[in-house]
Amino acid sequence: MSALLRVQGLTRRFGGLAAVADVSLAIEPGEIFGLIGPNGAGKTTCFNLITGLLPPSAGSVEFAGRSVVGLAPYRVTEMGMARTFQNIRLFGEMTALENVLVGTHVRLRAGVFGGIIRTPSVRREESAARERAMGLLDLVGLAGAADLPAAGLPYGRQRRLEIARALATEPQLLCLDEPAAGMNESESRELMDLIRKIRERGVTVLLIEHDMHVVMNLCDRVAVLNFGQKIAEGTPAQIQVDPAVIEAYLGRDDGAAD
Amino acid sequence: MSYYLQVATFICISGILGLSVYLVLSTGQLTLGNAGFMLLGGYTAGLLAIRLGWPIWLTVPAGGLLAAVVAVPLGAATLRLRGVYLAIATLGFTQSLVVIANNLTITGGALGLKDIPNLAARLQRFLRGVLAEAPLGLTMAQFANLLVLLISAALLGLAYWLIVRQGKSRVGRAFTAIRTDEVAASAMGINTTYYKVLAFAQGAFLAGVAGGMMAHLTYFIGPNDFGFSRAVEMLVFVVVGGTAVPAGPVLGAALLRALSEYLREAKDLRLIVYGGLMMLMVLVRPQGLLTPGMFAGWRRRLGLGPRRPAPGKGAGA
Amino acid sequence: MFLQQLLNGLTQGGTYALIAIGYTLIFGVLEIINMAHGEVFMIGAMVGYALVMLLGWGLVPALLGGMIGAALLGAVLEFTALRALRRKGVSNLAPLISTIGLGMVLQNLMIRFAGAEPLPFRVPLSSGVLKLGPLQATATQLVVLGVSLVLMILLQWTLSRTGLGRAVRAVSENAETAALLGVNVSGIVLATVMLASALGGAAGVLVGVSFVSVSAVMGLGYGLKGLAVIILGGLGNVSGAVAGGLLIGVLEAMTVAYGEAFSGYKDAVAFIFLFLILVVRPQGLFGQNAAVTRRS
Repeated sequence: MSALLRVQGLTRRFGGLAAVADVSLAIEPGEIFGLIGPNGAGKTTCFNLITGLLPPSAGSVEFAGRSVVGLAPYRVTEMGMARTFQNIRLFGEMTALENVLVGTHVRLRAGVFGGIIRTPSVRREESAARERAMGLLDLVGLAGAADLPAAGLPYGRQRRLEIARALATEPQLLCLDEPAAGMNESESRELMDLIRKIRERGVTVLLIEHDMHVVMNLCDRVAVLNFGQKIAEGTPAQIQVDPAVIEAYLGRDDGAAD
Repeated sequence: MSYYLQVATFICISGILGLSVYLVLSTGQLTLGNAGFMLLGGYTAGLLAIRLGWPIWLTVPAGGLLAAVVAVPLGAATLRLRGVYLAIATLGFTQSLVVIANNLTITGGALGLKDIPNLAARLQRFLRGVLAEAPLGLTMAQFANLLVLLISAALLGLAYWLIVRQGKSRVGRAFTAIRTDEVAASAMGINTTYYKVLAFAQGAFLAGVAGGMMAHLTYFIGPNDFGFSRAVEMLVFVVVGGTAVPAGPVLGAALLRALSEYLREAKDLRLIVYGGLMMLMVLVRPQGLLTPGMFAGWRRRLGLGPRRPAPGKGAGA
Repeated sequence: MFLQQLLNGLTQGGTYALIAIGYTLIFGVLEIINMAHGEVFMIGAMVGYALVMLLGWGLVPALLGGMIGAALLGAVLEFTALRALRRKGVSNLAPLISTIGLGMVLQNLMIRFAGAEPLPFRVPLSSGVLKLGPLQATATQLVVLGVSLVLMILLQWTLSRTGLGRAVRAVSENAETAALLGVNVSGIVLATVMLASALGGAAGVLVGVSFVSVSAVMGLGYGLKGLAVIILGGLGNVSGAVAGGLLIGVLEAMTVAYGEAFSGYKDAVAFIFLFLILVVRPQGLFGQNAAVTRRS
């Protein structure tokens, strides 16, 4: 009962095909948990199911003891789960700082009147939010890019910006979808350091990754999906030698995703 | 003289209408319903004045308020739809209101409402009571028209200021996020339905106020003042003037209304020009004439830095 | 009485269905709603008018002429406005805005040319009335209903049995895959636009025949109703368009028949019904989830 995220029997069917079939996971607070599997194994679909972007066909998802099935995505974020996207969905025309400020939205209170009539408490809230946003940009190494449009940033920095934006929602669980995609070795190492720092701040991390180097060195535990089903779960060392996992990856190189 | 004052007044009202469409567009939604809200506001204000004797400064906001109240359930029902569906549904809303107004006796049917208390006339009467002669060497009528223009310009200015203020706030960021990527905005904790309905209702309010003003600026309103061509006209102001900055629709309204005054006899020619401009802008300059980039450029050139937050703490908590 | 109104409604509804099919076919292959389609309908009617009233042709040539004229207009639209919209990576609102503008241009050009008033459109038809038990059907109604049904059946046959139809369905499903399979996508798009426009043009002539008049402004009302029908029936869904069109036609007829006081609201019925349905079922009566776009 202490699991931060408890997923049981999670299933999602499209027509006759089950993209996710009977997946169960329990993620403990403070963990860095990896979700791996060949392309098309259903990992991103799992994310979408967990964060409310897609309703499950069956199964339950409990976050901090409360069911989140059927909740709108913004409510899930309110409850403390945040995510990044496989294809990076930043607000391109907004600056890096503004992107992170959007992340702060859920923890601020100013409404229409507050926006127009800037009472002292609204102004305090805004400036605190900006400080926090700058702090997060600093954490991910983007403080200098605060006023640059997000769409103009190089790929690796965009990924980090997306992480900063998700962190601005003050999540307890951060779900990262292939954060190391397209990164070279030194960028991946910086990313791993960043994720460890995030864990130190008290945020539990669930990540989808193809880069085995990242997964093996970063994750406390790993679950392996194939064809929508969980085929193995354990420490990186354990799943590395699991025959079902080896078979699923037969012939595939580890390394960064395309 | 009075003629130019009146043209300028109508430009201000058109500016408010443009802003009403802009507001909804700023959440990424295309609405053709503000002509319908304008109808609601106009008839409400007119009827309140004619039947209940309400003063103009009450009827106009009442018109806006009614429009906003109707907008909430309408928006909640239709804003779950993707952009294309919404445009159609709001167009249907506008057309349904035209049909209804054409048929109800209280709205005067096809003949519309007439003898609506006229703002300029009221002001003129009031002024004659307190002033011996009009200042600035104008006639009393001209001075009254000038005051009407100032009131309309003030309303436009107020609407503009409110939108700019809101745009820089948490609500404004939510609007922009929703417009850019609704799914991502939702994932970042923004209740997209709430904000879309909010923008929709705010736009309806502005359109209702514009309708109320229109009723008191002309002696007569009829259902056909508020149909499809009106809806398209409001949209053209934004498409031409600028879709991403509030100054855009105001510029668009000014340019296009001035143009249409020049082409006054030929309503169909005007609509051909509007239609052609819409097609052209979409292909050649989809953001419209005024873009946010231009404003950023001007700020730089004037030596004003880009908007930065106060230097915050460095790494950390 | 009920049956009579049902017949009246189906007759009118057949024309709505034809217009709606046009919208839905174009949406299927282009993922654009051609807001100018109502004006294509109107121009088809005008061509029919010109052929009958100015050249003295009969019904069938006028119908064919209207269809061909509309199809040609559709081709022009495709080459000028619609194709250009696909080349750029535009937002989903851009085609909407552009085709709204296009529709305004077409409508007002016609108003300049022919005025906005209704023009009498009398087609040589027998004035006989067919009696089937409690029902009466005028020759006009039989023609309109008959032609609509025939066209819809022909369309269905084309879509399901011919190579062209299969290609259209493939492109509607997924244009990229269709291209990989060797389908000439631009050609199919053009053919679909022309086909859709031809159906709209036919509807225009039929409506002109029904109401003994055409006008430059007839496109707006019918265009809007066609749009209401496709939302009801689901975008891209041809059978939904047919069912929706007939349904709206019948609902309108019922309004006229059962409420003297309500008959003026006939034109609002389509949209009021649509709102009620949308509140309950955002995807329309027959459509899939409206919030999910087809390619994502």
